[in-house]
Amino acid sequence: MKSDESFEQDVRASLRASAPGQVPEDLVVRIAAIPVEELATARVHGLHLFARSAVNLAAAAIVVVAVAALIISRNGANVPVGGPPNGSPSVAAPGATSSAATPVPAVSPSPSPAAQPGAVPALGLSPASVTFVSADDGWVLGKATCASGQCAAIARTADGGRTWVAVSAPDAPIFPSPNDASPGISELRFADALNGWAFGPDLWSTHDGGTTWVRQAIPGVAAGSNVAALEAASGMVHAVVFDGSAYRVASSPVGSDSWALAAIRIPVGAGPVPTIQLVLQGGSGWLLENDRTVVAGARLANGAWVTWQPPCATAVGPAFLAASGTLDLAAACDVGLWSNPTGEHLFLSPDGGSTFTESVTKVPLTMGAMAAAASPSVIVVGGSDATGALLVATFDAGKSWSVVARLGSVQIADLGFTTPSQGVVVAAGANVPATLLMTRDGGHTWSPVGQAGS
Amino acid sequence: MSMTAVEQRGVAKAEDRGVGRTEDSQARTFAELMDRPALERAYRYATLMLGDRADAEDATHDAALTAWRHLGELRDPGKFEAWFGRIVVNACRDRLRRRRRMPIHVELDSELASPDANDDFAPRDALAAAIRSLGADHREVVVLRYYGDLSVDQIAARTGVGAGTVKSRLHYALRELRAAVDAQDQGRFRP
Repeated sequence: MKSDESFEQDVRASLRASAPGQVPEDLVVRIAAIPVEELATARVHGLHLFARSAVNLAAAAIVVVAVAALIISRNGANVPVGGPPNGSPSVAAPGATSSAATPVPAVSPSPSPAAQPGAVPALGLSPASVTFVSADDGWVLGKATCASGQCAAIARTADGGRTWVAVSAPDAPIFPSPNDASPGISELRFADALNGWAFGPDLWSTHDGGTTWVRQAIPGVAAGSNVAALEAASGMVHAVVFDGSAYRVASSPVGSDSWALAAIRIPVGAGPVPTIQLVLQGGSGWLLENDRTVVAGARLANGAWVTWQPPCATAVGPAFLAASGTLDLAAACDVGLWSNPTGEHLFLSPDGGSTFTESVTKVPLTMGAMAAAASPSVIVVGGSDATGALLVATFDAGKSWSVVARLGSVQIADLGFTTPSQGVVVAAGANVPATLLMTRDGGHTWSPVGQAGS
Repeated sequence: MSMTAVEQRGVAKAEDRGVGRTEDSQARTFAELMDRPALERAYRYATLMLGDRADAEDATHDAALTAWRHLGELRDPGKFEAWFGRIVVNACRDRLRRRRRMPIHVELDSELASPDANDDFAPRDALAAAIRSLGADHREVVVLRYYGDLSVDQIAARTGVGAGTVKSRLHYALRELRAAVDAQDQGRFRP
């Protein structure tokens, strides 16, 4: 008979042998997502609060990018991490050389003096949203210091982002507080040199290139309803509005404020943080609602919004749409994010979203956040891996992927292509200055633009 | 092709859109404390207690969620291991209670589930089976003592029972295990 000590050693050995190996990576991801899930749930107390849901998600999303990346990286999760392509150095973390406390240069309400030849003036604001209507003409909405504190500011470029001047902005709070009743703006779109809109949750429009701005009310929805998304294409502007119980789509010719509400209603899902994506290409358009998972969709066909079965509806994770043509649609899906995560998968549709085919290789991201397509074969997906936020790109329709920009602990917004070679993205983090980045080589390299001193 | 530039995504800037310093600080503290060793300890303990990896994953997640929600009650981050350990113990107890006396499904490692010519294997396998057959209270102290290498006092603090009770449970658990292994040995050599 074994001694007590010997038997206890056997017990130890048996337990060690029976114990599992490493923590499953999907469990690490689930636990990393706890802060975002909890913070979002805490903010969204009910459907009536949805007016701030996109903002809530945004607020929470920054946490999941930073914290999840921290947890995953500290835990050494085995996530695919590619390296920068040869000859294409990764982008430094925005603001890595600057302190978060660096004062943001003020933007005057009147146009700034023209830039000196050869000079590259700074944006003069902390960017939040960017829109280009051609390779040359673009606008950035952001926050600048002013006499009353922080004000909305807009900078305009007419040379593809090389020089910027300040133009007028709506007299509205920028990045309104999470308080439900707070009015304000957070995003900007232009259709052409004259017609533009600042929105989220309020809606303002200009038809003189930003000289004057007028606050808009959309007939048929309650005053104060949240404009959650807005895009313009082919002479029409479409706004997605939450009316308290469902998403509605209002459309208007770009040159007037003649809003008409479509019949379609897109109910919110059961999750705590519904968000809506609006993607336009010519006369085609797609709406996709994520509420943790893909919930619903709508499609613009022959000038009317109709119900559409979005991709990845059974993926138990969100999807992110991008379009490069009226028929060429891409969807990056976080398959199994809320069950058994299997990573980011890319699905391509050649027929406007009627059918999708999964690409050969998974997207090398732990979690996706957005996507943009320069062409049917060139797709950039933004998201995060163990290192933080990054952009990855495929130049062969998903057969292979490469990391094209590592951005650090930031949230990325407004990723998109203006032309097949030129694209933009805004990167901002809690502890780093927001940065506008552009690509001029079809997504291979991304460089900060409009920075002070650049 | 549309010349409007970008596709709306509805994401934004943390410092301006509601991630306050407190929440951000809590999230970062959570990330720092919930490191690989903490997760490994929790997951392995849960697996040994519950005998099912899916259940163990859920229990570990439950524990992490509880830790997040009560992080403000952790006054000394240096005591996180013990604090989180208690949460994990309770999460496993909750899982076991939910089973309502249902038989525990045992998921063996593949290398343990297959026959092995090693002489030591069969007794150890019998011992492993005996450990899994222990009652929850006994299995709890055995795992904490012989896998977690906790002292009797630490187990008492972790489980919320007195040190005397821990000693008693360990005593009876070991006696039960030894009896099970002895019975197995006798069976193996019986002609």
